[in-house]
Amino acid sequence: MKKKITLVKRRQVFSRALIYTLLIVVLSFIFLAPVIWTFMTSLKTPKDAFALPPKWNFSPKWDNYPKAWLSKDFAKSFYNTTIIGLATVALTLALTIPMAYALVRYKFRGSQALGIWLIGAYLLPEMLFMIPLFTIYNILGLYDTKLGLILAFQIFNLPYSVWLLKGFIAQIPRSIEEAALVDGCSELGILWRITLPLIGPGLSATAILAFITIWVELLIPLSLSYTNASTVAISIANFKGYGAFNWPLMAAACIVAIMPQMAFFLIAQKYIVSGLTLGAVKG
Amino acid sequence: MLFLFVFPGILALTAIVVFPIIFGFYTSLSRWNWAAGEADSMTFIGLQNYRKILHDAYFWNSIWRTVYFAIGAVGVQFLLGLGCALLLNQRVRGAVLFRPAFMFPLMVSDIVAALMWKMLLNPALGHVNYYLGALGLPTPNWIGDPHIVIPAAILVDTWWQTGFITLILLAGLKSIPEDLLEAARVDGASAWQRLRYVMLPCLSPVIFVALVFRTIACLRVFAIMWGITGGGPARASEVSQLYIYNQGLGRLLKMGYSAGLAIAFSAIIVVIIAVYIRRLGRQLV
Repeated sequence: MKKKITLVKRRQVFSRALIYTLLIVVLSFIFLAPVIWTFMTSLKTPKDAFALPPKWNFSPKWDNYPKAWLSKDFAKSFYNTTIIGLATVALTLALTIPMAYALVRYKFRGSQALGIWLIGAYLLPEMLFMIPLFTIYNILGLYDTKLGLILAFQIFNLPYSVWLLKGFIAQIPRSIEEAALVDGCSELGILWRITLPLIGPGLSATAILAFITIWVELLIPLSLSYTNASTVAISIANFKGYGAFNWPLMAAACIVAIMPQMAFFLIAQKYIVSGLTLGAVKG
Repeated sequence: MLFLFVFPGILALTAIVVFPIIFGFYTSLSRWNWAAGEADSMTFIGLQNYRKILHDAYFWNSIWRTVYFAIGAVGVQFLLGLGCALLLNQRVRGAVLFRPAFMFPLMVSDIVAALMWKMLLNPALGHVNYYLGALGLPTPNWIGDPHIVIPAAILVDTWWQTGFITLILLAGLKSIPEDLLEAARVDGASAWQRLRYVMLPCLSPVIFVALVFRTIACLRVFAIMWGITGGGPARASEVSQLYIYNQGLGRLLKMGYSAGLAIAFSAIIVVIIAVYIRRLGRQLV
């Protein structure tokens, strides 16, 4: 009798595991399919891409990639985004490391209000800033310049990086810093020589995550640049017009734009959950 | 010393966050229509722009479209994301190998997602409709039918961001103490009861964070509509940020009016944020 029950139970457990596995495989396929489809389309001729029923065996046309790379200022926008991204992140970190440190270590008047105010600014819609910045930049001559974008990206990157860094700094026990303080080190010296090296991985994660936000941001460069300082998101958007007649080129551009993002994500994968939630949830 | 630490950041925030908002407000009190050759002459008109906004049917249409999209997208993504997180949390051999697939769409930017789905959802040539048709299912005109276009955008956003909810809830599930679930199991709680009375209460702070971030992001949606439909057909997918963009620097260059629109829309968002932000702030600290 007892044997029978365990046998039935085991069969139940097995069939449940089978259902779960099936579900997982099907869902994985659904989430991956659009990207796989885009990759396949990027290797077709326009005629094959439009063929219905969809063509599954076609000879891959790899030269769509160099073609995409050379059209719509795509290569230039990669260079632009890299320069703008690096400069933005450097400026953000220089401004936010001391700020985050002060917010964690000192409870001064308004420190909590400042923190909440920062989240508020982070959550506001881009257009609130873009309309006035567009007019201001046109007056100051910052429109369509790299410097203009580097400054504009700070709107969302400053709060973002303050909150991420706060989380990392708070994990360092104060006692370590206090030991150095007793030894006569200044507060700036502690931050520079003790705290920063200790949060090294968190610091590079913050830098990478901030860089990703610049890489993917559309509205800010769309509003404040035209051709001179346009970023990857803009040149991808410029392929939109190709939708009418050249899918493979558009698909190739999409795949090329995904690559660096994927690389950044893989490097920072341990911190992605923190990065997506301003440190509210630890991965 | 403290002053020195905080001052540069505050100064930068004043210059790029506070000043543009104030300047934007000042702009919103003026007529400043660049397309009509007024780039050099701002005319102060008081609250006229705001009075116009109150009666701007297109603006309220855009708010309604945005809210419809946000509620639909966040609702669907939450249920699907919770399901995916629970599924991936099961002890099934090899499940870990498939986890990256669930998160993969997160690595795609919004505009790239928009372009990919613009091709896939093309009513005549898109492969989604081809396979739906082959299976004998209805083949809606995703991009051309005003009643379908927001559900289509919800579909795209769900593909794109469900992984966000899955990832965060999965992190939350991992932090639930195993003996808590074991105790419930020993006491004879069914799988549903364990979910309802043990897991969900434990997850509630994490769910809160996921929902707030998703809701705000969906209210700010721009690239998906701009990339796939451009706001059409007949303004059926013209969400607020897109409408403001078109009124302002995207097309019509009505700087005063679009600044007013941006402030009105932000005010609505601020009301929504204000309800949550204190709790969010406490949780973030």
